[in-house]
Amino acid sequence: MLLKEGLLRELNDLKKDLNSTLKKIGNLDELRDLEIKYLGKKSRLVSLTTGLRNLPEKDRPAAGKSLNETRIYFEKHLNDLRVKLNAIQITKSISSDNVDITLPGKRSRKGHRHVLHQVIEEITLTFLGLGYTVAEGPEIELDYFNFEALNIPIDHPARSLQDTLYIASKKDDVLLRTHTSPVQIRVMKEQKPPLFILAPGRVYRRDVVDPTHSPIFHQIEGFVVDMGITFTDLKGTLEHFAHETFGPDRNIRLRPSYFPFTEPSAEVDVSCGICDGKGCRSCGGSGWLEILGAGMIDPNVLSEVGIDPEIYSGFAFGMGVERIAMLKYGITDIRLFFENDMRFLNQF
Amino acid sequence: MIVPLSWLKDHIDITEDIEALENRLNLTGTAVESVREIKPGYSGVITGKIQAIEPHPNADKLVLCNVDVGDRQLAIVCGAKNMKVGDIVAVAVDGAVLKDGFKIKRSKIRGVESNGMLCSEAELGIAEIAEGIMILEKKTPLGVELQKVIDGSGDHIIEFEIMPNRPDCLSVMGIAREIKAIYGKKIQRHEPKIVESATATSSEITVEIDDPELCSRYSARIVKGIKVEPSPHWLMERLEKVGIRSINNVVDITNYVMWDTGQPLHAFDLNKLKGSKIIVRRAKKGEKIACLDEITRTLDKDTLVIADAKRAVAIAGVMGGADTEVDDQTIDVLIESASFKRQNIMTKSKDLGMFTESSRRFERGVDPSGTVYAANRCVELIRQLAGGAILKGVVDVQPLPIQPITLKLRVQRVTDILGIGIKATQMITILKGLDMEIVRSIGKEIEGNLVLEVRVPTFRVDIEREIDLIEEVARFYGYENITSTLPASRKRAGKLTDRQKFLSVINRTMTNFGLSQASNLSFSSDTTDLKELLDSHILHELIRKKSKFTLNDLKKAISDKHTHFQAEAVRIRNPLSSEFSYLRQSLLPGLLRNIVFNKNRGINNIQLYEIGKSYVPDHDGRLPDEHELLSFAMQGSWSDKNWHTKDPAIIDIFDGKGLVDEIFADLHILKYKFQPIECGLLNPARSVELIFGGGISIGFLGELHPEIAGSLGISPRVTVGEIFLDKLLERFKERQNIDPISKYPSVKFDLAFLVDDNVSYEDVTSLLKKFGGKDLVLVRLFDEYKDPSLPKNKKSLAYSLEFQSMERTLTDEDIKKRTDDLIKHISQELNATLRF
Repeated sequence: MLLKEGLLRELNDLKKDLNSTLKKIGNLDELRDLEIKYLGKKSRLVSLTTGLRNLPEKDRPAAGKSLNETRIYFEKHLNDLRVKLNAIQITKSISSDNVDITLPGKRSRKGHRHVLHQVIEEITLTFLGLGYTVAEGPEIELDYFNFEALNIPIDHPARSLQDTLYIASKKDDVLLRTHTSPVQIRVMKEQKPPLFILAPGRVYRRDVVDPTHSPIFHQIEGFVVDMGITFTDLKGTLEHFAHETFGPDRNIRLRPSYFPFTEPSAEVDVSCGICDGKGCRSCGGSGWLEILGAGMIDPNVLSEVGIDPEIYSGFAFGMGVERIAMLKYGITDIRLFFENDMRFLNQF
Repeated sequence: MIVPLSWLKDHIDITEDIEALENRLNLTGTAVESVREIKPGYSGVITGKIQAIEPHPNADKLVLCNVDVGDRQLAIVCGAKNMKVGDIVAVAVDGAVLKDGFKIKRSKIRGVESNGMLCSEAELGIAEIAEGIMILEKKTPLGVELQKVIDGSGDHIIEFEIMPNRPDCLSVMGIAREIKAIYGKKIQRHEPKIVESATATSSEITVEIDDPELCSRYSARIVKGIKVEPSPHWLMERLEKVGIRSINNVVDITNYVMWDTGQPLHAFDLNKLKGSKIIVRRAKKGEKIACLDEITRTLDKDTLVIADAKRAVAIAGVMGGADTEVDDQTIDVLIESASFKRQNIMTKSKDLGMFTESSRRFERGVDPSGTVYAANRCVELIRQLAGGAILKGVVDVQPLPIQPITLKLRVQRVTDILGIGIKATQMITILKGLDMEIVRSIGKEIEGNLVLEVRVPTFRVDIEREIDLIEEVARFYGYENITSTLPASRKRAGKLTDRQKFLSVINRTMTNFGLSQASNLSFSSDTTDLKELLDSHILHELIRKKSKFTLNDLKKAISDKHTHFQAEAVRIRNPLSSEFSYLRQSLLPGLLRNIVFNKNRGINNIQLYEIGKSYVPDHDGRLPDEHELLSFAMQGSWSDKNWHTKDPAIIDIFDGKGLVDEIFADLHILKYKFQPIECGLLNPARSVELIFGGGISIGFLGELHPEIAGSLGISPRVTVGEIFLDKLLERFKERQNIDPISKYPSVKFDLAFLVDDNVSYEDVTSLLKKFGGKDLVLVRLFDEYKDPSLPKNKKSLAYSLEFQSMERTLTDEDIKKRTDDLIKHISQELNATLRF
């Protein structure tokens, strides 16, 4: 009897003890010591539990129950304190992380592609999607490829359209290509239709440097040769290009024009993005901006490279990359492309 | 080609609004470059009705008119006699301004007050000459501004961009014909009315064409007894509007008729011609002629001249001679209206550097059928404006008859090319509107075999083939009415070339590393000015050859250029300026110029690369070689000092080496090495050559030589490099597989060695790699230092190492054994001691 009552009384004392000690605990280390003292292998609770077998058989269930309740009581109170102390600790650590959150971010170093090359790449991707492949040719060309084979013989009036830079050589027929069209001839001489080709590259003109002229600029030539290629195909292709490059809400218009290597030929305009085609200062009041020249490949050109114009037909177009970039980004001086001012380059 | 609207109206009735006209012309291929409006030359002129006419009390020749100008009555003194009571007239009221800025004020004329002036057309600047004041239509309202009720006072000056294939449009008539075709209107052709004298032209002059190939027709007329004087105002004004300087009435008329018809004309002073024969022949070798521009030119035998019995008197189709020029004393003139071979005129005017309105037309092609009309129009005007007698008949020599060509147009072919169905009837309407004649048609449209035979007017020199007719149909059918399709899908697939894939890898590496792409012009200069060192092709050449050179060598090469330096650059034969004399051989001078440019604008962190071509003469082949280069130039730091990076590192050669390592890593090229190089551009202590396995040099990099940097006024800590991409492209492969990743733990530890000063990183590292075995997966130097605390002539190299096996977990014993092994070899072979 006594044994059992003594046990109960002691458990009660232990609870009281714990309650008074818990109030003094200020950190997690002290809490750990307390856990060892009250719940550890050498704790009083454990030795009382071991002593249970000394009780008379009939008292054991009740005593065991009390012991169990006490253990749960200890665990609960110790755990509650642990949660509380953890929360305090995290709050402390956050407050010590306090920074001026308005300080600027740490930006990585980053290089930029040149805008002309970006434009070339974008346009290349557009035509890649239409099944074109890219071809390139030399910048130093023979008169034959640059003029003669393109239906521009030596005494052709169109020669005066482009002022040509010639290379000093034994014969007078080496020049800096004035357009990317010689690539047409090179490809057509080497490959058989169907041909869907895009040819970007540098071209040269004997021009004085000013805000709208540069002796070197970039062109993208595109051409298609196959059976059944028509003017409507050219128009649809250019519409797709204009929508991809300038936006789906822009229109194009084709005006009859003249190039020796295409017929019928067209000058192609895109509607002005600033005034929406109504006419403003940047489009000279017309509502249209000239972007490229195009046309059906002249039968003389096809015959020259051994493609029968009665079986095959084709179209070709050529555009100035600087011109496209200037229209796209509102650049008004072509010299900016070649000055390589970091403040310009890093905007793209 | 400049055309005043008022002039166009001589030939065709135009009621359309100018903007609508401009738009239609643009959409049919006659490109309008600009339209300039000329406002009337007067202001403050209103309409009024003459209520009464009384004599002037003090002057017999003047009258006093009472004029109703709507809201008031004005008394005006007038000297004209052609008006009567009830006429509507133009009244310049007080404050009005007339032609040439003449101001009207209320004033007393011979003692009688006059409140303005009744104007003639001449005083208003509407007409050149006028007899009496302007009388308006009876129905004209009173008191309104004159310009609202009459036209013809203002004008629109339209400038066209005429393509070289359309010489027929280099005339007012040609433009009128285009407008006719657009609107289906009628041309009002002026038929010259010529009163001829009894003497025949042929009795005064004969024409002989020696070279019918170069001159297909020569028509001549003569006017005798003329008076050369300034042109009347209307003629001067028309010429002025199109930008031609007035000379005298005869010359002005030839220019006027040329502008009107497109046929160039020339007037000779008949009495200055020797003999009575015009000969069209090739010049004799070395033959000289003094031209109208007062320059004497020596001709060759390919030049066609107009000659008299003694000498050449004009370069055919280009310019007349000074000897036979029409001047104030001229009384008899011979008018030449001829047709010359366009190719010959083009070549000759280019050779002679003479570009005239005449040559501009002939070199593109002038209608040979139009010579007589133009000559007739010319002499008609001469007689009107300069008097004289027109001799009877035209001397018209035409060795071969002029035949208009006939072309076949397959109606189905139009659809095959344009992609839309156009009815034959519509094609016929379009072609007829362009003065073409349908000679006959063969086949049936419904069976798809209809062929039209089309006769082309001779002024359309551009139409020679079926495709030319198809273009005409498309032009007037309207490009805007043609639908859009995409080419039918046939066997094709879009793809990038290997070269493009390669370049996109390189571009990605460069930009990821932090460099921005530059684009420079591909020229170099023939300068001998050291201040323009970076432009000089000599610097380009020295860089390309990587030759050892000092700044002094360079200076010498530049100053001795003509004696010692043999350029091996691609030279431009006709550069526009000396700075663009050669093609570049290196991209570095351009990038260095960009560095100077940016530095001068206060920018210090500059990291640029360029991918571009260099050009090298090839003595065997026809075309010079074009090599693709990748070049870079970097200076400053990767970022400005910052709140988190107080002292950013200055970019140096090791950034350059790191960049190259990244490029090769991304291209999956493993076998390459750096080795010392001597190149005059670079600091010998801080530059290396880039070598492939097999000893092939593929480029170089380094910091700028302090001497060169000094002369450019920039810091020598500029790291530059140039890599030959062609050689890289050959070895470029896309990654084929991955490096396997071990699932066993790795062991990391550090080792530091004390080595002699002359032992390099490379020496230690290669031994570590050699003896570390395949499980040594990482060797990274994390510290290199020399310090007084270390023994003399020694330095410390500290490495992080990592062992990891693909097969098992390495034990402590494994690690100890391998580490001991490494330490032993390094110590023995390099006289090194382990520090930790």
